[in-house]
Amino acid sequence: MSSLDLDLDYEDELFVIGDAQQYLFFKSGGAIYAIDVADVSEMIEYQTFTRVPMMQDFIKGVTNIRGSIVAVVDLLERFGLGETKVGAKTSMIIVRNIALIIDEVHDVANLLQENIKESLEFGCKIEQRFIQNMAKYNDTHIAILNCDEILEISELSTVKGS
Amino acid sequence: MLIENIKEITIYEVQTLKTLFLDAIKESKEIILDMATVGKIDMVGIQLLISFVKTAQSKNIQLRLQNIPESILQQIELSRCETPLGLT
Amino acid sequence: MNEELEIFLEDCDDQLQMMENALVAMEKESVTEEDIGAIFRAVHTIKGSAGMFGFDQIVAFTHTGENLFDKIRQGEIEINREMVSLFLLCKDHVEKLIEAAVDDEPLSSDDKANGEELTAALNVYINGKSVKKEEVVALENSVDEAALSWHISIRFNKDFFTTGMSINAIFKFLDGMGKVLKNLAITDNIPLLEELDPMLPYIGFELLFLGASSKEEIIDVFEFIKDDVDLIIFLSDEEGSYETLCKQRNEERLQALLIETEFTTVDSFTQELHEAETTVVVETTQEEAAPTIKKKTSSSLRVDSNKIDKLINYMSEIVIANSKILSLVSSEDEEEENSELHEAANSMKELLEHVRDGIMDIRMVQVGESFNKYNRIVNDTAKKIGKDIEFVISGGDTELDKTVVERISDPLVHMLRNSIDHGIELPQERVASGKSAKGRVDLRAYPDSGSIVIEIEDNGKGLDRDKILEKAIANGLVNKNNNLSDEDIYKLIFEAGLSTAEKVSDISGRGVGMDVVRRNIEDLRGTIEIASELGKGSKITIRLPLTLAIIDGFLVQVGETKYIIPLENIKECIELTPKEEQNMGDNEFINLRGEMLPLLNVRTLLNEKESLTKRKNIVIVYFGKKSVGLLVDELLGEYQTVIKSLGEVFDNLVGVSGGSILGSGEIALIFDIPRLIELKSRVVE
Repeated sequence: MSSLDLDLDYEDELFVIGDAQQYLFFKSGGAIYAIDVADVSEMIEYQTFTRVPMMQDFIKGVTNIRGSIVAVVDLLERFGLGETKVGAKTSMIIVRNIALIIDEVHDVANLLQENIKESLEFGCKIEQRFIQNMAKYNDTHIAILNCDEILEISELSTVKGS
Repeated sequence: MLIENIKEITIYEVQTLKTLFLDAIKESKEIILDMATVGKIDMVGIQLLISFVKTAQSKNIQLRLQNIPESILQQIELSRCETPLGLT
Repeated sequence: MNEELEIFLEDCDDQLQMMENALVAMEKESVTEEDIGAIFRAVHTIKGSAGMFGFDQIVAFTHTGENLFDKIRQGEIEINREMVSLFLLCKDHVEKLIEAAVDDEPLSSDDKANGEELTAALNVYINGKSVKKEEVVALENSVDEAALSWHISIRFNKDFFTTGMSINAIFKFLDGMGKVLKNLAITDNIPLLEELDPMLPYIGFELLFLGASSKEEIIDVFEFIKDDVDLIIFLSDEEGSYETLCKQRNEERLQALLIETEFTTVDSFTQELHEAETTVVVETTQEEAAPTIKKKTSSSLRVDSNKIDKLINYMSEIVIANSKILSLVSSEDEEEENSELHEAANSMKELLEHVRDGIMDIRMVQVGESFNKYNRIVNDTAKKIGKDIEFVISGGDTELDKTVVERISDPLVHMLRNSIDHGIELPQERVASGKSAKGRVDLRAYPDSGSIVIEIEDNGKGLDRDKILEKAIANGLVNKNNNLSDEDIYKLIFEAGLSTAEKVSDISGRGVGMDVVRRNIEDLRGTIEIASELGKGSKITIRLPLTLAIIDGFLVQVGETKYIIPLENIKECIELTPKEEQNMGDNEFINLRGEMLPLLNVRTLLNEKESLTKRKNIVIVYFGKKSVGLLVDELLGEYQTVIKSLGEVFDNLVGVSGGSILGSGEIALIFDIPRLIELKSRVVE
């Protein structure tokens, strides 16, 4: 359970002009997403978890993060895009005390405010409500995720069949 | 040099006041601390004043505290600090 | 809120509670000297601590009360019922004053007027008797003949200023308690501005205090800053005391200053002025000063409960880690050295259990104190609706986890009110039905096989079976054609939306009560049952675990997951033989020694994967009178575990009450047996 080493590009940070915010970029189901680093408390390698019965499929169970019990959510399944295939690079990011399973962590970098756009009505694989904004990143457009929606407790805590 | 318009000599202000007093000591040989506007004082403030008085004495600077409001004087007297402040 | 204020609040709560208990006792029974003494002390303490914080309104008000009680104590005034009632009102007013002072909000004009009225009422008693007002004043200001002359030497610890406590308030207070004859500010240690850290206290004080107070009483004045102040207190005429003081303080000019200001004379020093005798004495300063301050607190210690929780957590992890060591040791081949290792590990286990029990014990409090609070509630409620009730508390010395005690308080109050409001009849009704006019409500606590039982029993009219049923049918809770037993029907009162009171009163609510009560009790891993007999009364029985933090459990494997079954729910474990499995066929029960035992296949219920082993085991669990066999794969043995919450994501999950981290780091889920059985019966339906 070692934390992943991430080289923060400090140089980038120094030369930022205007409003910029840091984001964590990662892959899930092959696509790149971004998430506000303020929401991320930790990034760890994928680790085993204990299944908890009767929960919805995307709630995988619970895992032990240094002595506390943390719920595990498969992000891809949460998007309704099927289970994440576990490989060598599979990781977990701890967002608001919930471990999200993702393909791999990509980068931590600043996004300039001017590169952040309103989300589009269509054209994205995942549901509109999960997207906070769209952003230009390395010449592609990626979605900045809306953690409030994704981790909405009333939705996550619904028990199957009830 | 006249120091005036101080609202309170309390724990919240002592750091600022310390700097203010230090600057005064560097600049002037005669300092008057006018306390007419002081509405609040606490033990932290009294201690600072005592230090100020002591410092002035050690550097042969004339320091006078004037127009001390009655309520402030009461607080000082309650802890019997009038002597070290040279008020008697 | 800062820590001092919190302690102040807690202290006042305690004192007010003590006062109320004594007053209620007076109202019910005869007046004892002890009660009067207790009330006087409580008022005095509140006044003192309020003075510390400069809460003048509280001081002024309690002062009047203290005066009256002092006279009662001295036998100058005889206490009567009206006075007791007045004092109960005063107590409520003090609560309001404290609240306002702590919140730093002005008192409402109503409360202000009320306070003035109460003060006036108190003064009527004080002045009504032989002692005139002037004399009271005179008495106060003149210093008693028996007054002692104390020297109080005060220095501050480095954090004193940040506590926000005012030393001037203490001087003021001392002056009220007796007379501060001399006060010398020691300013020698205050450095010049350049070296001054304005937030550190350099100043000190030497006081000569004349008053009829004991050393403890003086130390009490400093109660709220005791950790941040370094006190030396002694009788000023004690031989050699000043010499000792100067040695302890070890300040260059102190001796000269004390002589100069006539605290003492040169003669009292055998040694030369400021002799540089230092090192040895400095060492003892702290130690000698400390006991004088802490003497009073040595019998009990106020500890932040979070600290204890943390300890419990660590302790439990140690117990778990140790049990892993034990299992490793015993799995080794039996060799000579190993048996010694085994022995060592075993004695370690025993010791750890002692330590753990000791830590757990810190959290245990007697329920009595909390129960006594209900006296007033019962009295007030009964009075309000014209019922005459005898309230009997027993088993107050039963100990229970503090958290549990706190969390059952609201449910208990609710149930007590219910008993008074709906249970006990009006006096005339009671007489008409051949009962004594006075009703009786019992609140009992006692330990019973590893759990605590709390009972609330009344001898009122009992539950009306038909009315409950009627209502339940009307609300669609049960079918019209049911054959529910009486017991089942009574249980319906714990369902949401069922209140049998025809008239809604402001006392026991609008049917939002008993279901919430049940929920609260169940959240504490407790159970609630009700028994009743029409015309004779009802009895509610609550069963609670001793503690919430740890359970003794039995670890089992189902599919890929490990589960823990609380040991308190387990009757026995048996193996499901292939033969029996065959006999079972498709039925969901087995024949256990001639009795039918319903079986719950955990794997199918929880959708677990196929097991790895062929063997199957049955853990027979019970809850109340129901027994069920849980079909599991493997029995892994007894396990003592710390219960951890799974987090809010799993709030709606029924049948699992939490998780526990095993020695391997793996998480096991803890079964909530009562809910699991409930779940099973629902699935069957």
